[in-house]
Amino acid sequence: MKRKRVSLYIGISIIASLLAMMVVSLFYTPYPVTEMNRDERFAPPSANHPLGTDNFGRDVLSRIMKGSQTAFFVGLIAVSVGGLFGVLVGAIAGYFGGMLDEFIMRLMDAMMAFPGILFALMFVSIFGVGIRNTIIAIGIMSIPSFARITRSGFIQHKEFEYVKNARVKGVSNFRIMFSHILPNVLSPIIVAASMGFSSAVLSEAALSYLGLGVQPPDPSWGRMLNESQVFITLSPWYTIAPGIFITLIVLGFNFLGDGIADLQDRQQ
Amino acid sequence: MSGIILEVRDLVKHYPLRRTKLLESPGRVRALNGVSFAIARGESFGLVGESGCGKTTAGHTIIKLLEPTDGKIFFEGKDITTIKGERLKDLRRKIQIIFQDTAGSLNPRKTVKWILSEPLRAQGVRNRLEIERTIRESLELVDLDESFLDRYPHELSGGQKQRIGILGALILEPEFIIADEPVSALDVSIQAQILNLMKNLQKRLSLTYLFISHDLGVVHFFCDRIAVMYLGEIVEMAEATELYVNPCHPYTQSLLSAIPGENAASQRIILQGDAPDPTNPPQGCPFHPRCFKRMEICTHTRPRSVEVSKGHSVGCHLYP
Amino acid sequence: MERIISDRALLQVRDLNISFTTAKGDFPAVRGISFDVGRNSIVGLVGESGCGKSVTALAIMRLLPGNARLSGTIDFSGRNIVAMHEEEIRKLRGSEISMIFQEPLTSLNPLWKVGRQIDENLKMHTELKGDDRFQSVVDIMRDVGLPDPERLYHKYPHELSGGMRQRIAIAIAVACRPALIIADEPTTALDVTIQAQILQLLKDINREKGSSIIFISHNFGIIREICTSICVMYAGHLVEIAPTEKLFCEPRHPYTIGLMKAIPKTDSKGKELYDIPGKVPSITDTLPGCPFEPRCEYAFERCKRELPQFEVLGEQHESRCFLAGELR
Repeated sequence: MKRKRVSLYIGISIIASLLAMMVVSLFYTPYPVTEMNRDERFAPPSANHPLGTDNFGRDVLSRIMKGSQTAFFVGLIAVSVGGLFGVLVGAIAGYFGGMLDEFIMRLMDAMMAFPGILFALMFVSIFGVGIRNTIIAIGIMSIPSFARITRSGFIQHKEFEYVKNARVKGVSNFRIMFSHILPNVLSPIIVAASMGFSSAVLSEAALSYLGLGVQPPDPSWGRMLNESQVFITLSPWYTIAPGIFITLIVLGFNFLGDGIADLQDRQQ
Repeated sequence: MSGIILEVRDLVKHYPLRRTKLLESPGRVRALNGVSFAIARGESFGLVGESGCGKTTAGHTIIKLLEPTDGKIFFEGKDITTIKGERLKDLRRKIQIIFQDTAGSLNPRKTVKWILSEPLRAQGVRNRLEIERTIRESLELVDLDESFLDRYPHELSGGQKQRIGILGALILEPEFIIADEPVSALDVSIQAQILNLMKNLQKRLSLTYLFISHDLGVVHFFCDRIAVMYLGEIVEMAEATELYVNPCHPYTQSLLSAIPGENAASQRIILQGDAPDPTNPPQGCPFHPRCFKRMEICTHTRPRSVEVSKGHSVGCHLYP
Repeated sequence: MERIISDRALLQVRDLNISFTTAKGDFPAVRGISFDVGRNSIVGLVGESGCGKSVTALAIMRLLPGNARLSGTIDFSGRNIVAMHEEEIRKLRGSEISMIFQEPLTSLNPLWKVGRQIDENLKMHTELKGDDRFQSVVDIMRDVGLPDPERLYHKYPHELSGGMRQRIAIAIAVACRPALIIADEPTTALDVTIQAQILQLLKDINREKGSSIIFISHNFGIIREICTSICVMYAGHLVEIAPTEKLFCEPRHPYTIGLMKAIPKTDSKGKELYDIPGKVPSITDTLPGCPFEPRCEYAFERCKRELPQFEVLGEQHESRCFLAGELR
């Protein structure tokens, strides 16, 4: 019984500490993130620079802290975009069924079949490089998974008698979908959102690594990984630091999602 | 009796089955095959039969949860078979349904108060105070008090859930109520409470019931007239007492004799074979493969319904 | 407490207590029940949901979940089931005691052909091999009224109707000629006409094969139909034990009397049904006195404080009520 909660607690503590770091970075970083210092390039970790400095002598810890803003921002917006449209489309497909369902779900299949990173590359190269378009691309990529989960919940629940009961009372379809059914199918969607958050962060890192996401001099963990790789032999901690944080945030959200799913399983 | 409130004429409902092979046309479930009956204002009309006989489909078609394939439904003399939109919404005030699955018909994530106010909101009542007052005043109808309003369905016992289900139907002040197996999920002592409650409400609010059940004992107790269904058809219809004393159709006879504990075992008619399959009904009389009085004619000709005495009709070749 | 104990009883349950340990505390589900199942008899355990009848059945099979605690004895042909080792009880299950569940669709393995599921039981508990075993399976299937058993042998559960599935479940249960069959609401999921068939089959098995049956149901009609004697349970207690006809003609516990009046019968038409006020106490309620006292119309002061003992009213007729002798 107890064992299962472990992943929830691990997830919560990782995410909470990263979140705290993000909040602190809004007001305070040890050094200004763009402040360069020629004398201290590739400094190893020390009391002044706990995570060392980069090729311009900037403080890596400060940039990691600032970078967490990007990570959470991207994750939040992308999951909201994906979740909103995914749930809407999935609810319509599942509730109404028939040809509409077929059409929507084939479209979703097509989107899923298309490699996500490739889509984002195309999207960004058409609409321009930048954080806004990166987020939109990542959001669109996550629509199908939300749609599928929502649809299966709706298909199951629309046959329940409480839904028939609402129809018989004259409740409108829109209200039945979002006021009656949605609260009952929300739990798997929340799990998906948590998992989606981690994959959005990962996608942002990947796109920024490829130079298509966040533009310099704004810090992003993926970007830092990209910039540091040239110097990996010279200054390994500069590469390791953003790598560790990307791993942490992804792990954190996966643990959280797992934990929530376990919790729900037990409640049922 | 003061006139007909609901009439159903030759109601047919076929569902397509899921297509399993690309080139073969999918089969159909023949849930209703020409069902006709009329219910007088103020009476309790029972539809009884085994699972798959179409009784629930009949109820759901009348309340317009399902579209009939063919046939007509009249409510208070008006054809309601194909109405939509506002007129359908108005009809919802007059016809309501109580569901079998007491737990499933209440939204598990909502409080009793929300569940009870939803029908009022759906019918356009916007005033929060008015909704609140209506609910508080109506709780007394089902012998519950205000302490239940903030509870969730899983915090209620089976009998309390069914009371809320009944109140959810009554709150729009309907005239006609379809009760689809309202007590079959309840324990014996609670079943009696709910049946008595429904009877009392009928007197107080002058309701008409269509009572759907598989339990002949309960139907006989509750209803004035009973129709027995088999494979989407009404095989026998009569006043409750008449049906009990003088069952004509072999199927009715076997159903009555199968009520456990009511008859001596020696009189029991035990039907052979399985419950029928509505995707593939037999030729001729639908009951003939299991009938213990089967004749040659039954295998190829469908019997017509004939009146054996006043108000007692039966569809069987034994009564030409 | 003086109990009528026939020495020939197959199963003797004595002072059986079952409670479940949960995070929120210990909850008693069965409180000190004692009853006998004679050879070649059909004993009914009847009561409303939550009265402990199914838990009792699972205890006899030793199939209770890990958080259950039991005390008392369950004596089966001279051996105490409660104290048995896991290995011993496994040999007993399916061969000497077997069980039929309410929902045949979920009690059968959906991925195994039905014949194999009967075969499995013979394989575990008999020496039969190859064609002999196949022949026995077919014979058993024919015995339980399954038509064309050679063909049905190769069907999967979902290809059969509810009635046929329950016959398969019964075939599995009777395969090794058990001395005792526990049937937990075996007809509740079935239609009335199919129910009649299954009840007849169980009666035939009892008569021809000599297996005793514990038949669990909430339906008094069915219980009356099939049982030789009846144990009425309420809130974890046994409240009345009687031979079937005795119980129906002269019930002597207010709960039994109330239930009898609450069932719609031919002559109750047009009248108000008697209803027992209130609801069944929850498993979490602690009642020092008679469990039925809050709903009982005959209750008096003593019922609140003290749990009545069984009063012997006649041959094998006992009621747990202070007024048992006076109630008519």
